[in-house]
Amino acid sequence: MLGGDKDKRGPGSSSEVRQSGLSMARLLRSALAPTGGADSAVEKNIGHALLWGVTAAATLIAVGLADLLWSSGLGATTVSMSSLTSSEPAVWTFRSPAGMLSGLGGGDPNAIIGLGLLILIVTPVLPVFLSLVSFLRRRDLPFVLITLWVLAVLVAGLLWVR
Amino acid sequence: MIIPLLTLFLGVDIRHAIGASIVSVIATSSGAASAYFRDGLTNRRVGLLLETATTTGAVTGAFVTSLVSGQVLYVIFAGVLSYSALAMFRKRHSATPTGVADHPWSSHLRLAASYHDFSLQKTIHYNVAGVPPALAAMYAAGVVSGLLGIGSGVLKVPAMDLLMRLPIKVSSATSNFMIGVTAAASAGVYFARGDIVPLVAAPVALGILVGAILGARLMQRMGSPAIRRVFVAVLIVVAIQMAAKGLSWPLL
Repeated sequence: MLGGDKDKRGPGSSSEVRQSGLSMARLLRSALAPTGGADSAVEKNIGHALLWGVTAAATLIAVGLADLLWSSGLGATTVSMSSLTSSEPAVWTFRSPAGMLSGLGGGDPNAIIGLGLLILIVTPVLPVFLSLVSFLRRRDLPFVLITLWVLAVLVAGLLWVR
Repeated sequence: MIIPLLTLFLGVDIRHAIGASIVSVIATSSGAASAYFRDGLTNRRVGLLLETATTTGAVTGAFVTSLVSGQVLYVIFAGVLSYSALAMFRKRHSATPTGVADHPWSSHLRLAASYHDFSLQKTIHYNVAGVPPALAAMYAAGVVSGLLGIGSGVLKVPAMDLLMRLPIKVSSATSNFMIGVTAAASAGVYFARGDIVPLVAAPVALGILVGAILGARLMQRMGSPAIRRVFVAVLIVVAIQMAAKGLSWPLL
């Protein structure tokens, strides 16, 4: 999202474009440092939990992907593309969560990637749970109800589709 | 944008492309959200409150499909996005909203908060206006995203920016958090059906995670007017895409 580069409109923007361009290098270098704005312990915890979730997921996915490409050879990626165009790619995935679990036992790289993806999918729910806990602790009834409602609708949606 | 890339260029089956796309939405959301939360930008209270409306909309959206044709919805959506683009474009030079009064519901629920704007190097306190219209807009966003399969972020950010008068960085961060929650629900379904193919989803997820984390930190260092202008561009592109779909232009 390089807003300085994309913007061409407006009279006051050219200096901003130049400024943004010059400081891009500085921005990239400091990109990973927190800006120190969070004053709530809960928010810091959530941020860290998300980072852990994302890192764990990314590690598993990267390891699994590397394993997958390594063990089937890089040339296999062209073969896999053709099997992916069908609606039932037999080799390159697991059929169900149960399939994934058994695949994990056997060290199937697809299953490793799958576990990473599963962790990734669960990650956004963490802030909601952590918020619920903090609202309960603070006895913030309106927000306990609000958070429960959101969780309930999510679960209902999941069950409904099945 | 991931879906056409995968289906048209790589020939991936549509269901698996959608699965990978949902994974990408979660990757963007969680990657960026970890930064936003640690920097105190996300307003969880506003986000959760609005999510009650969005999730309800997404679930009840299925009933709405039978009433209105998809084509009509696309065109209406294009109209709403264009209007939002125009409204946000008019505000393009403003950094942070001033003189905003809390809506009575905001005071009651204590939605107002403050955040540290890194680019301005100061802490800004903001109030939260327009709660009922924002809830209505979120319901519509939920319905639309459930029906048309588009991310609802394009409606969430303008609703928070224009209706609730939140600072644009807070709107982006909060909407980001909200989107992740809803995407997680859809992703669960796709995962259980085996529609998420590791070979396809893995590179998508990794690339986007890296991009999102860096992008989130960059966002905080950018000036708010610049962010708003980028968003206007995004709105215009999506509005054109929606109009094309609704009017059956051979554009995509």
